Amino acid sequence: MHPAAAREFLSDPARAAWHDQTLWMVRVKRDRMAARVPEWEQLREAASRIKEHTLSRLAEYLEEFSARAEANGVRVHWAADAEEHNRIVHGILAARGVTRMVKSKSMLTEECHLNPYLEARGIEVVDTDLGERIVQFKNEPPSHIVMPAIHLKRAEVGAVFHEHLGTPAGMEDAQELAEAARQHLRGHFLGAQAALTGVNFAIAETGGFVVCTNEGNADMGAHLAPVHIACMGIEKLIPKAEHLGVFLRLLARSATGQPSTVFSSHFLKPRPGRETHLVLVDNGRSRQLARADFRKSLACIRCAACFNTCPVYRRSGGHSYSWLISGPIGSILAPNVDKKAHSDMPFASTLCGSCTAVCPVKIDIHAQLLKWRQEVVAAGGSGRAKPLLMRLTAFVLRRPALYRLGGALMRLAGPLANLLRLDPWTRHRDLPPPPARTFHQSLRDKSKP
Amino acid sequence: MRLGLFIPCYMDQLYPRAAHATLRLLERLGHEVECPDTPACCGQPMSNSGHAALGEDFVDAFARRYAGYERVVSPSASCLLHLKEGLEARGHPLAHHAHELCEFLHDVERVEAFDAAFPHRVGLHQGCHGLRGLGLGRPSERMEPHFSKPERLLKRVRGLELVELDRPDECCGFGGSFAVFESDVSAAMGRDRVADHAGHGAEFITSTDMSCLMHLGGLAARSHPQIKVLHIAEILAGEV
Amino acid sequence: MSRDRILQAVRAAQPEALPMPDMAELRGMAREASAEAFAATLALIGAECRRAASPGEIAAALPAGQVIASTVPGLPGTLDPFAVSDPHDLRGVDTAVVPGRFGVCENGAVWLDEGALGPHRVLPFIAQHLVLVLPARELVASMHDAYARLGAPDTGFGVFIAGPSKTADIEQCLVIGAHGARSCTVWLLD
Ligand code: SF4
Repeated sequence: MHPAAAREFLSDPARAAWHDQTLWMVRVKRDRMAARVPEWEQLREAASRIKEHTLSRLAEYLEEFSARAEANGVRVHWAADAEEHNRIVHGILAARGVTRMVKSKSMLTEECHLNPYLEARGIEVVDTDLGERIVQFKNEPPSHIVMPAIHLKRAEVGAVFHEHLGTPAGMEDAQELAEAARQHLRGHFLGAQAALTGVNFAIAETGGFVVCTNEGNADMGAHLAPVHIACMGIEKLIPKAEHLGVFLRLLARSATGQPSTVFSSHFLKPRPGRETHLVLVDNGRSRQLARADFRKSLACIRCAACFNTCPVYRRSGGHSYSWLISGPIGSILAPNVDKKAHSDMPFASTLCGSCTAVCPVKIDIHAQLLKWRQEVVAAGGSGRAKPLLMRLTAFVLRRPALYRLGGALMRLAGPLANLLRLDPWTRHRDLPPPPARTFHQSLRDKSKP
Repeated sequence: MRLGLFIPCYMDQLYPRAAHATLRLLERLGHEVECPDTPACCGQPMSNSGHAALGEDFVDAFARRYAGYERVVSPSASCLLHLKEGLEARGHPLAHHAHELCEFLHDVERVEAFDAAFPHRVGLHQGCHGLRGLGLGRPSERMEPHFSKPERLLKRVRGLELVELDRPDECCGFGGSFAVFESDVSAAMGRDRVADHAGHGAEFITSTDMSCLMHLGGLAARSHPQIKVLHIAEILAGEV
Repeated sequence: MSRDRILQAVRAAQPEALPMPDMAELRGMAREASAEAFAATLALIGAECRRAASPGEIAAALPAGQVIASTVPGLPGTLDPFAVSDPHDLRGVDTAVVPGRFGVCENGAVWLDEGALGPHRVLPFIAQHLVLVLPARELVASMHDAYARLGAPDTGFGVFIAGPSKTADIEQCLVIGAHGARSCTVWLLD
């Protein structure tokens, strides 16, 4: 459960403060970079409308996109769910005798648990994004969708590299560690028989797709290995190439406060004599598309700005959420995947709305969190105590006499609670000193003749 | 004009001073103010915890009770936002006549000066529901010109010095039932807010929401007892 | 078949068609492109901007004793990428010299398409250092202008490169030189 996991995270205050401050600085960088674009809010509006339009005609765009991609020589595959996605990817690899694959960042393959599926079938998968490689060594899920290893300190990374890469014990310099990873992964890029990448944007009118990285790992993989497999959720479509102008202006500025990702690679056709495969994955997206209240969540471009701005995420860490996409956007996507298993995620928020205000595609994240709460509770996903408490509260508040009595008792009990500090409120904070009379009491007194 | 004053239940019980200050501020502007004496819950606690249905009659009750007033004013941005959203969903005209106090003073009354002096360093906590929900100011996420109605009003109080904050509008972590069910994160958020105000030498923290202040004040009482919380109405009314 | 099942599910789920937003206003916003603005952005993203009057000037500035692979006409390196058949054999390239089509002032990105890369798409990524050569007049202000200029893509691959490869995955410490080039120099050719 999120509250317990968050408490665990907060039990190391120095680390928690570091996590908070580090991600807050990313938010500050985003602010600075966005402020340099005078038409920023207009861009957000355009991005939001383009996505809404695309989602409203998604079937047509998927048909257009896949037809053009095929005409470009790309082999297009369709996967209804994670299982089928994994089967398709494995099928491609097995048919070509691939035993070594490099992979760049793809939250979709995490969602489908592709790595264990392939590993169980004798295929070595090497995550090549530095952060992903670190968590892969640690056998942990990423804790952030853009900075997968943000929960780790450099000494821990040093220890992981010492164990797996044989770097000297105690190496803690980020530059040296990154260099070690570069050397290590170069070997894998050169030896890989296939490369898998994610997709940031797929363009219906051209059949092409765009992959954005800062490290260059997607390109190192895709342009060296004979087989390139790109996996994308069906919501990654945009209608036209000119729309990339809007999204690429927003993506890196929102994500890391850079004016652009270092590499924005536009794949259209396979290299001569080589293969490009594209796997289009539904895995619950069409179900989410059908939910009018939650449809807009599919507009997400995975910039993670909502993570960085979220005061709860910053103070509880990605691993405190029950789904691998954590933070605000994860909390409105996860209940679509499994309402029961992720019932607490929509509650891991104060509904402050910062996520909604920062989101480059204007997803009404906090409003959707509130709506998911209703759905989770209606499905019986919030246990027994909470609903009872709420019913009791509503019962009391509807009845003037009970309300006055309850209020008086509460005011009487306050000082004692402050002393005992047993309840979740007073464990952390005092209740205010109770006033002698309520507002209405004194109004009544005044109006007496 | 005839105004309906909405004092939410927890202010009635715990913060009558802030409620009185609001009442007097409005009366001094020459209005006839009434505050119906019935439990005044907006229904937000139920809705926030996933039991919106249990909270619906509170919105209906509010609409019935306050329909006769020209305008309704409340010193609680959060409750008011919830009520307004409920009224808007019902297409009820009251949605457009209900105002948070600062919005009323700033937009409707256009008060240029307050008969108030407060020679202190004050930190303004911009409650999220007022800021991002009701649009009382421009939240820092948005790339638009800065404005803040509560800030402008406070600047019209003699001697008051507003402190700059490192994080001008980060959530305090109250969040209604969040404060209880996620009390650790809630408290961690609030402690950071208090520390930000304290670090900039604030003697008082003020806000458009007493609920945020209840949380922040309760934390400050343990970590920074020199810092007090005051509802913005108390400062504007010049009664402290 | 999954294709039909997915399309059917999507068709059933999607709402009534919403209009395609008009991009004219964003596209039409007046923005100035200038070499100064471009150079300033490059500095911001850890790249270097230099100016040259001729390819010869650039050649003279390239470090000696390195493996240099160039696809820029009139600027031969020490290794001819056209003579290499397997891209893996580019692993020893110290510096790749590649012609850009145009640069984007707002983000320092330079567009390279397959025509410019020669036979190997991997060239600008696998080299230790990257040198991009661009006619100084080929600058656009924004990404909207960039895509207006690109029009319908006509090559199998193209990439915007904005500076040297980098990572901040360890404690958010910026490290230049992740998997791609460790440095990026953009020459504006007058
Ligand atoms: S929901 Fe918005 S802010 Fe969050 S990752 Fe997606 S696009 Fe970015």
